[in-house]
Amino acid sequence: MFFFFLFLSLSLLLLVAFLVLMERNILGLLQIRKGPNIVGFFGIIQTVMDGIKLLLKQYIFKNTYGFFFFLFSPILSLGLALLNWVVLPVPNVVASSNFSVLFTLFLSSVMVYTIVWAGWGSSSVYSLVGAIRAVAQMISYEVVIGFFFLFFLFYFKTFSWEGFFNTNQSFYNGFMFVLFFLWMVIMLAELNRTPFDLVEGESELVGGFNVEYSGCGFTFLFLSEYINIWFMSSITIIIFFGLGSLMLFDFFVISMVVMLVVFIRGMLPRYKFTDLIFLTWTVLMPMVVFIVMYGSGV
Amino acid sequence: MALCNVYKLSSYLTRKSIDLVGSTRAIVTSSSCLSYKLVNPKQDVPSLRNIVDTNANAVFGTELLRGLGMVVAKTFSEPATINYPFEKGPLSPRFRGEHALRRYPSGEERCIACKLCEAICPAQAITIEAEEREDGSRRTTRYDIDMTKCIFCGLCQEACPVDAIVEGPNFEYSTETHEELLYNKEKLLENGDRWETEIAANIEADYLYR
Repeated sequence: MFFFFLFLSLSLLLLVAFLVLMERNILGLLQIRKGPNIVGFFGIIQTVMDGIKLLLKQYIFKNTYGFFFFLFSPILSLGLALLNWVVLPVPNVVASSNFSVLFTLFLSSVMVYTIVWAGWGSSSVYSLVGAIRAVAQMISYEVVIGFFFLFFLFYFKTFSWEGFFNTNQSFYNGFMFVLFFLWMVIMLAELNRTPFDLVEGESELVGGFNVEYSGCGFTFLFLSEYINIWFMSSITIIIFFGLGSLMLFDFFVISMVVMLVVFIRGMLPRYKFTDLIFLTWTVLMPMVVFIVMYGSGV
Repeated sequence: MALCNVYKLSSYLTRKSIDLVGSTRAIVTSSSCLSYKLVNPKQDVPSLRNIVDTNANAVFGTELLRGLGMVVAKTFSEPATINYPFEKGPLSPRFRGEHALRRYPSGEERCIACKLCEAICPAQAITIEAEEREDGSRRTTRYDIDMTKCIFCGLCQEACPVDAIVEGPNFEYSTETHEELLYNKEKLLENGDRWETEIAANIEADYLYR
């Protein structure tokens, strides 16, 4: 199992490289310019090279009060992002559990800490403001995402991701469409992606909570961010399409969801922060609570 | 959504009341907010039809879908950029790039050391020293251009009576040190030899306007 997890982690790193390359190429297409297309064969190994370069770069230490947090947060971030996959059936599950959905929720809550640590440990105003925003955003959407999962827990009467495979079905109707749209909004907010990427609003914050990071630390934060995109997309597949028998086709559908996320980045402008919080608590939250009530049969 | 409309309605009513009071400021007793003018775009009258339209657009995300359509359409269009080091954009014959000193077809250098370019150079980037050669002709012994001072205005090539100093089409001459950009006569003549074909073609193409 350990070796399987090692293999999974390595393939995840490759997937991230692939995702970054795809993102840059798709954004290039959308903005009628060329993406990376030189290095290797049609730019295939561009991101691998970029990653190597980033890892070899000098890591600038800031000797501050939050030094431990500054140093440890990228490691924790990457660790948690990889740990997320332990309970996910892709298609083999590393650590089978009857409560893997709760484990996922738990991990996504803990991930907030890495951002707090990164922002606060950097002892920079920009990082701190970025971290505060990220925390407000992530905690708000944590609540929503919890309720959203609750609906499926009620509906499928299972607490594990594997259970979703076995019970899925007869679920494809108009209501599903609404749920999927809702889930996309929640997912994008949870991932801090456009249009909810206020964490790194370049116009007012230089680069968000990770502005003081360079080299290795930045790479780790970046990797964890993109691993989470794959993770959320996989969850989307598990929840809404209930696939899992055909590995290749699964991967294709997951890639489609990831591509949608990237497309949305090229399509939508950034939300205002007040609007984002407003949207969570006054629109999404009541909707999700209503859906949960419907699902639980109240 | 409903909240939005309540807000809309209230702001509409506020504006109505402002209209009633009048927009100029009379004797001030308390608040000055009545004298403010609304410069926001006019909102729709909150009739049922407008409210339904707005909400339907919001619910079905018509603007989002239109944006998606635009994005997808752009995906299939030709890129506006080029693969720069391998492809290059078109240049005008008058493009003012790296300087070059030209020669006559016989191999004799054109520059007669009249120092007009040195005189006209607004950045004072050109330094010329000259003396008589053994055959009696007047030639430069030193012709330096400080490329880091040059502002690429092209006045030197305008001033030159014999088309000796020109700004060629080359723009890829970046260096790693400042010293390499202090061009001397040897470097300039070498540039002239290397770019002569292009420079001659450009002068030929532009002769009507000279």
